[in-house]
Amino acid sequence: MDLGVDQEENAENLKFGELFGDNEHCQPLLICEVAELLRQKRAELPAELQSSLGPIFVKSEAYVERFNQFRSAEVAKVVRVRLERHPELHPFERAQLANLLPETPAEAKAIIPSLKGKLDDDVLGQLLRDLAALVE
Amino acid sequence: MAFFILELTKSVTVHPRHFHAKLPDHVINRLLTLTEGTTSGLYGYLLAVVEVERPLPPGRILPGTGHAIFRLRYKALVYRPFLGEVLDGVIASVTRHGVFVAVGPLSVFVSARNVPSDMEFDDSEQCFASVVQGSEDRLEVGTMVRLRIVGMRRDATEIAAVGTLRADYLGVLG
Repeated sequence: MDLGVDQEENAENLKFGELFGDNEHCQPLLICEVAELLRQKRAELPAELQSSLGPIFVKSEAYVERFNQFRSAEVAKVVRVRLERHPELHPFERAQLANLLPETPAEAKAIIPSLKGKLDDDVLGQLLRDLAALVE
Repeated sequence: MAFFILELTKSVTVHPRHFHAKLPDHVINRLLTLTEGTTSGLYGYLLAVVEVERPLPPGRILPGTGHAIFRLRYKALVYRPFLGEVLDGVIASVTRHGVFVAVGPLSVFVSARNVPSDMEFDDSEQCFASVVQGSEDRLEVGTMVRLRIVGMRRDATEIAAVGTLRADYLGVLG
């Protein structure tokens, strides 16, 4: 099954096309931040409209609840601050690091290939340990 | 899974019967109805509108019908998969040809050629099981896996993807 390769976009070398490549008008979010946004959205709805949320919302909500590793909005903020300390990281790389939580620098560079040559292994290793320490 | 806050614009048409004090509320409600829960090959799955730019722009009356059109700028929470991206998902179904992994609203097909090389399809249990001695790893409905997207087809209102589990650090989540 070959669906054809989109030449313009490739997350491995941080090519996201025109719309998503524009960092001013597009910001990748961490799963923990999405969890908070979805909770707010649901809280704003009156009780009788809770079931009106469509399948895309409900499926994403279930996904985020399942894979969210940082349980509270406060911890999510700390995670964001830790990641922002490394200005050399692309916003997408920050999201991937927090969402996938690789254990070692070698694993991080295998699943997020654009990290290669960006951060020293010591620095990256420290960041990964910092993030892991925040998991609840 | 790649979620984004994305700035978008949308033209909303309003019937003249809504031209009263509550017009702004109506315009925003129309925007939510028209955009939330939609899928587009361009921006992906639109989960929710999180902010509408205020003040709303003045509407323009359309000649002939009397409807007004408002061009709104808004920020939306979207989920948009990308080629080459690594993400986690849950196996939704298994066949001998491969497995379907649900990643939120997206379904990713992993063909039997792309399951981990130590796994084989088990006819009696209808799942992929590891042939390594002592390994309990299985691909069955409900298994959480980490995959990389290796192919994607995007059209106006649909996204389809194929993925692989066959690489270092991919496969069954421990």
